[in-house]
Amino acid sequence: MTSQERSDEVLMAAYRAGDRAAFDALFSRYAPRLRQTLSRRINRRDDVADLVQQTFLQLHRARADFREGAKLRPWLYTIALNLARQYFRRKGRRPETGLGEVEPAERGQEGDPERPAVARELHEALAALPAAQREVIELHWFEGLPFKEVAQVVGASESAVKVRAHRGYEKLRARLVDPAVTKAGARGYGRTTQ
Amino acid sequence: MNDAFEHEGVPADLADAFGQAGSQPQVGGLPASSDPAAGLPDLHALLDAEGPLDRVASLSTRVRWALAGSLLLGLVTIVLVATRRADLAVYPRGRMALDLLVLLGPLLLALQVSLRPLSRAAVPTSRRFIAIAAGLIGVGILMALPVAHSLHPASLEGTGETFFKRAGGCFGFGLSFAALATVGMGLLSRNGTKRWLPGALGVWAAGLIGFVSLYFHCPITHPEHLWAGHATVALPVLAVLWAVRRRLDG
Repeated sequence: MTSQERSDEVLMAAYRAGDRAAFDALFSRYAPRLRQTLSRRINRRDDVADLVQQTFLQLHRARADFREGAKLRPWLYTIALNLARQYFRRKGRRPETGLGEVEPAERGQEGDPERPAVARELHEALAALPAAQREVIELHWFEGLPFKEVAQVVGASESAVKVRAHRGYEKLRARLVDPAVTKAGARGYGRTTQ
Repeated sequence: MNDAFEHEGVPADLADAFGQAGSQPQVGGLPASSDPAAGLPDLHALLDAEGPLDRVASLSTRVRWALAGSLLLGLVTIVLVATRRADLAVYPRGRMALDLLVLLGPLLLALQVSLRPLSRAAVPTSRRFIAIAAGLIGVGILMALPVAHSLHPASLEGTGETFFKRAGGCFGFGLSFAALATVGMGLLSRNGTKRWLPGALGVWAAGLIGFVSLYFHCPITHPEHLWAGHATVALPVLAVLWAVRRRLDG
């Protein structure tokens, strides 16, 4: 079985047993996603790279705490978001609203001139949400975590997370789902980059 | 596989507008398709360069709790063996149990926050304040309680002309034990940085450990002495930590 086929938990178990290649496989699998997640909050590319590195360094240091039967993905996101919080606390700043240093070509699908504008609109709508709702929606929608894992990451009950998500989605819908945005979105905005 | 994302509950109209159902819209940030191994060589270098102190950071939470408990017990044992309070034999046992309950409860709260692994959801700021407030209230309660006893001559000292001398002595004693505990908490607390500085709750826990050590050392029961020489122990450590952190972050 290749590392691509092995689950996160199998790779983590292998790493705990001393298999460095398993750690590398986890890094390759999750570093790009974490870069994306963190760059929604932090504009500085170097700081994002540093936090991703710190996340995996902390994953390495916390490996003794990882219990059999636990899911790795919420674990990893929790570390990353905790480090992001510490980053903001150190800097004395609030989370930024992304798009800062990111090249225009990286933001959207090539050849779609409207896409950056649509992305910005969605981004601004997200930034206007209360932090708790925004965090839940980002983890649920953009990161694709099920509510159970989102609950684990944010430290709330699953039902509380569903309520936050519902309220956040309602606000987004009220602000965003108008004909112009829907038209732009229907032309391909948001195709997955997975 | 992990790529099989579940999308329970994303409103269909939003999903349709901003990404195909079952996929994630790209909003800001770097694309997921950027070099997956970017930064890995640097991370390898960091892991390979880890020294003994860095390995302490890899201890499990259970081991950290055990070591924090050992730190408290070790310092208290040193005090009890080398320099225990002269009135220990006559100090009312019920009162001592109450005193320790009032001190150890907030200490447990402070340890719970500072030893909490980064892989668990962050403790809300309100709970951090509650942990510190519980310690302050605990110390306040201890000071406000009636004088524990006046059965030993040593317990009656520290007033009048000897007030500043005795209060200063206790302050220095408690501070030195709090400083030792701060070093220990710096190694044990989960601060997520490479700096061996505990967070505020770690220092607060260290201050309480210094306070408990002092409790088993000083026989004086007069409230003014306790306020001046005992209750102030954690404050300078917190102030120094704040200044050092500001300098490092600046």
